[in-house]
Amino acid sequence: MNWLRKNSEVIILPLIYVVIFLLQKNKILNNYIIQIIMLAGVNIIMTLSLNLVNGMTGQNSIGHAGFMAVGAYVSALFSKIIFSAATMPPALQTVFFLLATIAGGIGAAIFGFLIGMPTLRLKGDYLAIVTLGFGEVIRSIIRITPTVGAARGLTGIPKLASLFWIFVFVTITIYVCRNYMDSAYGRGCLAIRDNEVAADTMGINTSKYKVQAFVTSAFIAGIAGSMYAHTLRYLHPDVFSYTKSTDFLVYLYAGGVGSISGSILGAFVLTALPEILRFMNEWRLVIYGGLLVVIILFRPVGMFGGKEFAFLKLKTGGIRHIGFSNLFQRKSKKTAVANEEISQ
Amino acid sequence: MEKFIQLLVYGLQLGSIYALLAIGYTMVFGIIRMINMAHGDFLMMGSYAVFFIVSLFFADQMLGPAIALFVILASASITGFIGVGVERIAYKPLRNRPKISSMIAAIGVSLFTQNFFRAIPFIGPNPRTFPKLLKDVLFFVGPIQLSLVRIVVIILSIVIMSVLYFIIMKTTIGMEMRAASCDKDASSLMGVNVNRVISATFFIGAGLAAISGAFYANNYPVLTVTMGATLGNKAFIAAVIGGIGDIRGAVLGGFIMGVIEIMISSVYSELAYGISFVVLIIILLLKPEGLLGKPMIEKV
Amino acid sequence: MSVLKADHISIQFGGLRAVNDFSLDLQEKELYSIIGPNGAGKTTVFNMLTGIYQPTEGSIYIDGKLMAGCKPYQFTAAGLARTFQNIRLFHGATVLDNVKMAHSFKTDYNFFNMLTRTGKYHSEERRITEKSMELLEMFDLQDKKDFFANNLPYGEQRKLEIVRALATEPKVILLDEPAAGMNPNEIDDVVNLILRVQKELGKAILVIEHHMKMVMKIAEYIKVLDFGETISEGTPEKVQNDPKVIEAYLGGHANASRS
Repeated sequence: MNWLRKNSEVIILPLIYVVIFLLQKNKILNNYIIQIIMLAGVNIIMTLSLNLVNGMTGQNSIGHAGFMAVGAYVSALFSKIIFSAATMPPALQTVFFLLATIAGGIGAAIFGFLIGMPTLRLKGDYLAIVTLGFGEVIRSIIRITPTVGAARGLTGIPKLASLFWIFVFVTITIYVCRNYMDSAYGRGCLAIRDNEVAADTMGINTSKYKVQAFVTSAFIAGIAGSMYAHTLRYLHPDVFSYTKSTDFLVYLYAGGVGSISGSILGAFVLTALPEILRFMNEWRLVIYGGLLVVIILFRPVGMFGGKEFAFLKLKTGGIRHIGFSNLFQRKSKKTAVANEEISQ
Repeated sequence: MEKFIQLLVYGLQLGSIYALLAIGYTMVFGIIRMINMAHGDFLMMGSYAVFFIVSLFFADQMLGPAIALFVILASASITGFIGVGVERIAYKPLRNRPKISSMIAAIGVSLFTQNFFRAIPFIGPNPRTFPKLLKDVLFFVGPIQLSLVRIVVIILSIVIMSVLYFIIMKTTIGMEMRAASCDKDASSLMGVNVNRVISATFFIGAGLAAISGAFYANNYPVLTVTMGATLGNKAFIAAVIGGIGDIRGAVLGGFIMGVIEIMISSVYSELAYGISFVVLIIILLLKPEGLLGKPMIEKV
Repeated sequence: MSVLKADHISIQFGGLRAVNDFSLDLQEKELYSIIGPNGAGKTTVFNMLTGIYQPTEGSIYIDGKLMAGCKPYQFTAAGLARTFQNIRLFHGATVLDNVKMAHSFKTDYNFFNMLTRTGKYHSEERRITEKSMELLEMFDLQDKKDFFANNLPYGEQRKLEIVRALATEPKVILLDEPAAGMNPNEIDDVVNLILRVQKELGKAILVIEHHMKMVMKIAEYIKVLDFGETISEGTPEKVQNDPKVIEAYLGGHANASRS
């Protein structure tokens, strides 16, 4: 019982999935909502990936959609064009979906390495500018490559991603990011973010740590790209424009940069918000933009205020945890006090 | 050869539009070290301002050069004041926070303005056709066909940029701007009203963006609420190529971008947009501070 | 045995020779000091000795190892740590994390152990935390381990910087004006702290300092810089009475009026 209280995520995470799954089965959530939840999952993975660079290492990548594009196109190339997974038996499909996803991740990671190596050595905003440029270059290359549909887009990608797989990958990403942050590697990156010169003189090989974080981040973005491709089944180069990159930045900074929980919530809430505001028609994005400015102005630490979910058990950074087990504890203390009062 | 010169003129004209826009990026970056992601939207506002002034007061007439210039300057000042307002509301409270927060705020402003313009009924989502401000005259120099309006746009842009350079180098407010871009805190201790300087910077930047919007729309007469985004990106790249923070660099970068883009798209139009980023990345790898920029050194 | 040796190092910025022909040989457990008026090139010497600047001439040895062309982190790995004149803590991290961060390069698990939390991850993390706590306890900072570094009082920030430098397990530690901005009481604390690091932990120490009294009290050997040149060196008594040093501090004019 004690172990369960300490490791509440073992129950909570499957429970969340089961609840969504049951709601879907009983037609309470229609396909449209399920699709939005799946896209929110993709956005969560992307935002967590961006958090490794912008939040943990303090480098500014503003063209992360480029890595997502690489992942999406490489994985679609793998599953549709090279292996045509659509005609396979389901079990084999799953295997090829996972292989395609890993291929997408590796493809993006290779680009991450090529971009990160030269630029992360430079100080200042160069990474920001080069990543912005990279995203647009990738998009232009896709636009003129006939194999992947050029400017018409790539259609007919097999629908291999499911709510289940997205849920699995979101969970893995959350734990990978948590493990990264709570380790010597992550602390090295946090040191670079806080003071690069001091980090260097504390024995931290700053270029290496930065490139490691950047490549890991690109890999995760590639995974998100594959999820995206196999959810929507259609890719168009203009989807991965600079606007897409700014979306992720917005999720990250509105949620709380540097915080894993903030990234998750930011991505989820802000993916859902425009859909919830849909009844306002053309005004919804006006309100969305206005809200964004208000959040940045009045909540500098993000909506979630730099706190972390207790189930992440993050030790680095002196974080205040909030979560289900805390709620239980607080309640039990209150009841204890109440009991004392009664006995007196 | 004739084709080359013709393309060069087209390139210089597009370049002058980029240069005018890039100046705004570079000035704002020089003084508050912020990348104003909403700068391209000032271009959009400026061209809509021209559109509305013309359709309200001068509907269906051909404007004389004097009136055209007046209309452009009027919309430039309207946009300038909007720029000052945006800075006061959305960026000023963020001045002492990490640079990236003001960049995110700018993204919010950009989302807000674009969609606000799309949402209000008298602008709406449909593209508008920009009125012809001046009657174009085509003439020949030898075998080369040239358009008078294009030449006028290039010359006007150069005049405007020279005036700006004069303002920055010779007037008090220009000196205060240069002081503030060196060290904001020290210059405020020396009696420079930093708020006023930043407002002036935004006024000039947004005004120039509006002028470049009018010039752009004169050539590509389709107005949409998102027209500023792509142009803004390219102008930002131009500013970075030239060395962000340096006005001469922005002008140089703008012209380089314009010429390269026209030359490449005459060969393969799909490539033009991507190539400008390739140029950017190459320049950044060879000379990270840009063509005219000074390297940043951190003191230990 | 020599732990830090600078062999005739010089550095040139453009046409300016900021430091000329500086030599130093620091043995184990010795405490040296560099003094000199403002702008004499003291911090530049430190930046060369820690790898932030590359000397244009001459060479540096740490623990007998030639450090030519090495980056600062390699200097640290070779056994050298430093503090900064303007405090450079990891302000967004807690006191404990600041110390743990300095252990980063000495952990013995690889990237995949870290991502999957297998192999030595848990034992190494425990070891780092324990060692960091030991250091904090040694310098009475254990109660503040969960404070954010920038919420500490000024004096404790300086102390934490020294603790953090010690966490890299250096053989020699370089202190850049450890008593800057402190009152006489706090300076006494710093003196005790430095002497403890030297005597109890057996580290060699090189200090830049402006407080003459403090330098004379702790230093075994002093080098005096002026305009990048070493104008005098020796024991505190010798340096104190060197006319060249007095001239450098009081200026040629003062010297002339005295004679």
